[in-house]
Parts: sequence; structure tokens; C-alpha cells
Amino acid sequence: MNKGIYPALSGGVAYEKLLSIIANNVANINTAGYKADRPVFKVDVPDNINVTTLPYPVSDKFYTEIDSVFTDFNTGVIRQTGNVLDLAIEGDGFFVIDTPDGPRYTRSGNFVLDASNALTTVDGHMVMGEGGPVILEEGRIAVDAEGRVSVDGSEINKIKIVDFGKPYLLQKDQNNMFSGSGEETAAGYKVLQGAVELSNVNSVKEMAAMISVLRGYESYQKVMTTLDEASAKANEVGRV
Amino acid sequence: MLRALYISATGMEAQQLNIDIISNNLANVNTAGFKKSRGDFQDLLYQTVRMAGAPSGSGTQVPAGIQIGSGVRPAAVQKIFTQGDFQNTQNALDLAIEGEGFFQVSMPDGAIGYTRGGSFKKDSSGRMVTSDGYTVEPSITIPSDAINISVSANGTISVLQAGNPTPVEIGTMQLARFSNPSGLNSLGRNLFIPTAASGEAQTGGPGDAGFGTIAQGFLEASNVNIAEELVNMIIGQRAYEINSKAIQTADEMMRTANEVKR
Repeated sequence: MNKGIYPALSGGVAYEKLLSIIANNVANINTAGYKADRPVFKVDVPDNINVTTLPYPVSDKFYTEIDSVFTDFNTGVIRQTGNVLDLAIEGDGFFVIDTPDGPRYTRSGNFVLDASNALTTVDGHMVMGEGGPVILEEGRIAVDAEGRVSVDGSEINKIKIVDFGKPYLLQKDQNNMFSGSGEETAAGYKVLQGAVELSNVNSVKEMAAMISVLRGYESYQKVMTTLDEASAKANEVGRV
Repeated sequence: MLRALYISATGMEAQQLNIDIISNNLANVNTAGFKKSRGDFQDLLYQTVRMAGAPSGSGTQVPAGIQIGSGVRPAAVQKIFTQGDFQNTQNALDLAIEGEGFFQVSMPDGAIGYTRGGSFKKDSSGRMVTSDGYTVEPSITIPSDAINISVSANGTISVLQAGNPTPVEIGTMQLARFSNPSGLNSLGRNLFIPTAASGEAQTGGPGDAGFGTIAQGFLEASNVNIAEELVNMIIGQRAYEINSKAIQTADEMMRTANEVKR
């Protein structure tokens, strides 16, 4: 049996996972504030490799796997909606959402009001301001570029925007939210009222990725088939 | 089986719903008092294969973990209560609300329904009713000898009766408002009913703090914008398409896998 089949198999398995990641990106191509996931591949070589003393061929110990998946935090297209409670952040930063599991962070600003007049996500989790939850009063609601919320001209709260020194350590939670620690005060952002940030998934990129996954997977299959045929030939050696 | 198949299926389902919502908006582009809806979507839970920040074997920290998502779900179909355009109809019983608030009508089951569609009529006994015959709450009866009906901005209804040169006040319109109109339940027929999410109705007169004023002889047109909906439709259709491509890719990969052994 040719052991070279295992590295090819590991590649195929990794590519199946990769397709899941791409599929999740395209499933969320219309999800406001969604951030695309991108994989990093690695080739594993056994530690302390010593080719001279190895009792087996080296090739079967090399294998491919997904090393990590990182989130592409590039800003998505900001779309004007004219909806008073839609907020988008231009620049770095996240909205802070109060959930039963602790603070969560999101870029998805399609907020609503709940029965107690608090600004919440569509799931009903409260949006945090510098001075606690943002409870709106009746009147004309305006949010300025700094995130200050005013009703009929008088300021009532300021939307809390935080940033992370190490955004790559943020974990994706469901419902467009991220969890993590080490929040810092954001700077250089601009809050836009009446706009939402769309998903940053790029359909052309994802299509290209799908093509490369499919063809790559085919190549792995060809390698496996070829090795299989070679083994078959080997089994024929000595036949009279 | 490839997980991608199921993930893309959630994407196709979500876009299908998106197109349904857009179709309903477009179907009601000419419905007075109609408020458009918007689908809000969220990503589904993630399978964390490896935590970011976890210590790696060689004593360093893993800078980015592996999280694989499982698709998308519709989180809410949100009604957008922006003001529609005013249509001048010159019809005395066509009323539009300029600003916040809903007309109250009493439904056949006795409950109060709320509407922005103000094309009222008279029934056989002179009561002000909606096109479905539901009476306006509080009930207003227009005398049969009325020759002119006028509704002021603050909702006072007065009529001129034959043989009487001074207008007679016959009632006042009352409006209701909700802290979260998006939480209202749509009943169809332009009617909404309150839910726990919308909060209780607060009633008041037109022109009171927080309430809009009444414009007589106008109807509030639907707030659906055709161009915007068509753009949404294109986006929805293309998103549906790319999800189907992901399914196709998964399908072809499975075929490829099946070809490993001949």
C-alpha cells in the first residue's frame, strides 16, 4: 500500500472543511454586519524529524490541515436606509450589546426599540451607551458622528463604541455578535445614522474560492487514484 | 456528507424568505397606509474546533482559532414605519396622519385594531367606518343632513348642516401610539394589533406631544419605494444564486470523492 495516499486524503478532508467556511460566508452574504471567515492552511511535518533514522518513508507524515480561521474585519458596504434606528460604524469599533452571557460586540446596527423604549438588537438584547442602556424618550431621535444620542436636541446618552487591540482574538458568537475581552475605547470612528453596514462577503472572491476548492479537491482525488493504480500495478508484478 | 450542503441550504432558505418579503412589499406598493417590511438576518452558531488564544503545544499562544459557522437564519421581519408620501384626494373623509400615531378601529371581535390607512367612509347609519366597515373608535356619527365635513389638524370634526350657517362639532379623532411600532402584529387589511413587544397603546389627540396631526383630503401612500425594492430583489436573487453554486460545488466534490475508487 502506498502511504502517499494519506497526505492527499488530508488535503481532501481540509478542503471539505474549507467549503463549509465558504458556504457559511455565502449563506451570510445578505446578513448585516457579517464578517467573512478566511482559512489558513498549514503543512504538518512531524517534530524532530530525522530522515536518516526514520523507519518509514517521510511522505506519509506530511499532511495538510486548516491551521486557523481568521475573521476578515474589513468594513462592508454601508447602505443608506433612512431608518432612524439604523446605525453604522465607519472605521474601527464595535457596538456593545448586553446579553445574559455578558457583553457581546457587533457591527450590525439594525436596531429596534423594545416595549420599554430601550434600543435593542432585533433579538431584544440592549445596546449599551456610556451611561448604561440607551433608553429613548419620545421625540426626534438624532445620533451624531461621535455616537451621542439626542432626543429633540437634548443629549441623553452616548452609544458606547469599543475597539480591540487584538481583534483576531475575538470569537464569533452566533447572531452577528462577537465575544472577547480586552475592550478599549475606540477612536477615529464615525457613527452614521440611517445606514447599516452590509456583509463584507464578496461574491466574486467566494466564487473563485469555490472553483479553487473544487479543482483542488479533484487534484487530490487524481493523486489518490494514481497511487491506487500504481499499487494495482505493483500487485501484478510477478504474474505469469 | 458535506456540511456545506446544509449551510448553503440555510442561505437559500433565507434568501427565499427575503424575496417573499420583497414581493409582499411590491404587491402593496399602492396600498394606502401600508408599511414596508425588511428581513433581518443573523449568522447561526459556530463550531469552535480550536479556541483562539489557547496555548499551543510549543508554549506559544494560538493567535486565531478555528470556528466553522453553520449558516444563516432570519432573525426578524421588521416593519419600517417611515412616513409615506401624501396623496391629495380631496375626499372629505380621507385622513392622513402627519407624524406618529395610528387610527383606532373596533374590529368585529370587539378588540381595537390600529391602522395608518385613513380612507374612511360612512355606513348606512352615518358612522365613520373603514373600507371593511369597521367603525372608528371613539365612534363618530355624521348627521344625515351634513353638507360639509371638515377635520382640523388636531382632529376636531365639525359639520355644516343644511339651514345652519355655523359649523357644529360632532366629535374628535383620537390617535394611539406605541413605543415600539415594529413590534406590532400585522393582521392584514392594513390593521395592526399590539403585542408584548410593541407595548400598550397610549392614546392622545392629534397634535399632542408625540402624536402627529391630521391632514384632511389626503391619504398616506404606501412607504414602499419601487427602486429600492428592485435593488433588494437583485441582491436577494444573486445571493440565492451563489448559495446554489455552493451546493453545486459540494455536489461535484462528492462526485469526485466517489470517483476515487473505480
